[in-house]
Amino acid sequence: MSDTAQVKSSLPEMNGKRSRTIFRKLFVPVVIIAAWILITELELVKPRVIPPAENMWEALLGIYKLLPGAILTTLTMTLGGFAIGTAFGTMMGLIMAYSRAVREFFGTLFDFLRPVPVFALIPLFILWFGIGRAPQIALIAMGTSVVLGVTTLEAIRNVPSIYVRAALTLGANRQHIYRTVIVPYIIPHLIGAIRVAAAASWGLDVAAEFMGSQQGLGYLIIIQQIYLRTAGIILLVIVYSILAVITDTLIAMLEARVTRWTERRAGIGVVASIVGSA
Amino acid sequence: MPEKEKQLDQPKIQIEHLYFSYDEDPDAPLIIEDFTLSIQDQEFMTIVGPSGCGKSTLLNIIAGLLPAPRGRVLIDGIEKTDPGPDRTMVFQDDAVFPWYTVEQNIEYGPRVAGLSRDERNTIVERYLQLVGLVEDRDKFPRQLSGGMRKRVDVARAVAMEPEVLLMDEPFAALDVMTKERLQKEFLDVWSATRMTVVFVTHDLEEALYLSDRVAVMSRDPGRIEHVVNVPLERPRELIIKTSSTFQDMRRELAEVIYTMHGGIEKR
Repeated sequence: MSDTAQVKSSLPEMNGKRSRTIFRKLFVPVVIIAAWILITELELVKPRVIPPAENMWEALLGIYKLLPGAILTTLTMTLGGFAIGTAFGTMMGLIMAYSRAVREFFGTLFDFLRPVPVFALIPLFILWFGIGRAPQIALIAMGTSVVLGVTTLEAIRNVPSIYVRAALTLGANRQHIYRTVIVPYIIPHLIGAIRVAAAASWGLDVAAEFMGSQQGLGYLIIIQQIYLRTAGIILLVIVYSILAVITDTLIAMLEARVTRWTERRAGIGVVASIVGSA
Repeated sequence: MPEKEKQLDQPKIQIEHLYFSYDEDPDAPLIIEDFTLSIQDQEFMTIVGPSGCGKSTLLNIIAGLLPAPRGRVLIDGIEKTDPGPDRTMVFQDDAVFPWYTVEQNIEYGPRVAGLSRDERNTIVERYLQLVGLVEDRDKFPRQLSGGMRKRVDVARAVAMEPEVLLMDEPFAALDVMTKERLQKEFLDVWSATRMTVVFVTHDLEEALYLSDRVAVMSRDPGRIEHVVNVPLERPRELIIKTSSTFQDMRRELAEVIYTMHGGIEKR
C-alpha cells in the first residue's frame, strides 16, 4: 500500500466524517417529506391547507400544457429586466464615481429615489406602460439598478488607494485607472450583489405578475388561488424555485471563474470551520 | 544595455525649500520645513530618520502624489507636480495588482505608454530575467510569497526605465532573510539599469549597504540634518555588513540620529 493510502486508511474520522455530513444534509428534507406524508394520510389538516400527493399529481396534469409558455414568459421578463437593471445600475455607479459633475447634478435625485419602495410603483407603471410585459420588466429593471448602482459606488469608494497610487506612478491617467484598476477590482464585489439582485428579481417578478399580467407563472398562481387549488400553487412555487436555483447556480459558476485571483483560501482547517465555509 | 553616461552639469533631482503640512490650519506644525536636497544622476541616495519625520511624505511629494504648498521639486531642471512614469515608486505595502499575472503586471507601464507588442515583450522578458521570475510569469500574486511579490513590484517599477526610482521602505514588511536577499538582488538590478534611486528606510544597515550617500532627516520639523558619504566599493556583497568599517559607519550614523534635534531621545 502506498504511503498516502496507508495514512488515509488509518484515519477512521475521514471516512466517518463523510457519511455523517451526508446524513446531516439529507436529514431535514427527509423529515419534512415524511411529516407531509404522515399529516396528509392521517388527514390531520384540511386538504386546502396541505394537499396530499394525489392532488399534486392532478394539479400537475391540469397545468402542464400551460407551463412551458408561462415559464418562457416569466423567464424573459425576469431575466430581461434583470439584465437591463444590472447594466444600467452598474453604469450609473461607474459614471457617478468617475465624474464629479454627474454626481453633483444627479446625486440628490438618486438619493430621493433610492428609498422609494419599488413595489409601490407597480400601479404607476401599469398606467404608463399598460398591461403586458413592459411594466414588469420596468419594475425589475428599476429594482435591480438601484441595488447595483449603490453597490458599485460603494465598491469603487473602497478600492485600496495603494493600487491607484501605483497606477499613477506608472503613468496611468484617470480613464486608464478606471479601466485597468477599478473595474477589475470591483468585479468580485459586484458579483455578490448581482447574485442577491437575481434572487430579488424573482420576487419582484412575482409581485409584478400578481398585479396585472395576463400570462406567466405568477398569473397561473393567481388562477390557482381563485379555484382554491393549493396543490397547484405549491407546484408553481416549486417551479419558480427551480428557476431561481438554476440562475443562481449559473451565476455562482461565473463567480468562481471571475474571482480566481482573489485571496479566498480553500475551505479546510479550523479557521474555515469557524467562519462557516467548511 | 549600454552604459548610460552620467550627466554632470546639473543634479538629477533638486528639491528646493519644500514645505508641507497635512493640516490646512496655518498654525499647525509643519511636517516638512525648508527642505532642500540635491541628488546626482545615477546616484543611490537613501534618506533615514526617526518614525514620523516625513520621509514617506517627502517621497510622495517627489512622486507627485501629494502637492507641496511651498517649494519646488525639479527633475533634470524641470519642475514636476504631477505623477508620471518618469518617477516610479515601490511602496512598502503590497501594490502588485492581484487581478493581473506577474507578466501582465510588469507589462502594465509599457502598455499605458502605448508601446507595441514586440517592444513590450522584450521589456517583460528582460525584467522577468532580472528579478528571476521567468518560471512564474503566468502566476497570480495570490500564488506568490511576499518576497516574490516584492520582486514583481520592483520589476514593474523598473520596467518603465524611469529617470528616478523612488522606494518607500520597500523591504520593511519582509522577514530578515528575504530582506537581505532582496537587498543584494536589488543592487544587481540597479547596477544593470543605473537609474537614480531615492530610497527611504529606518534600517541603518540597509541604508549604508545600498547607498552612495545617506541623508539624515530630522523630525518636527522635517529637514536634512546631515549627509554621509558611503565610499564602499561596488559590487557590494552582503558580508561587508559584518566588516568593522561598516559597523563603525553604522555607529556614527546612529550617533547622529540619537543626538540630533527631533531625534529618538525626544519622544
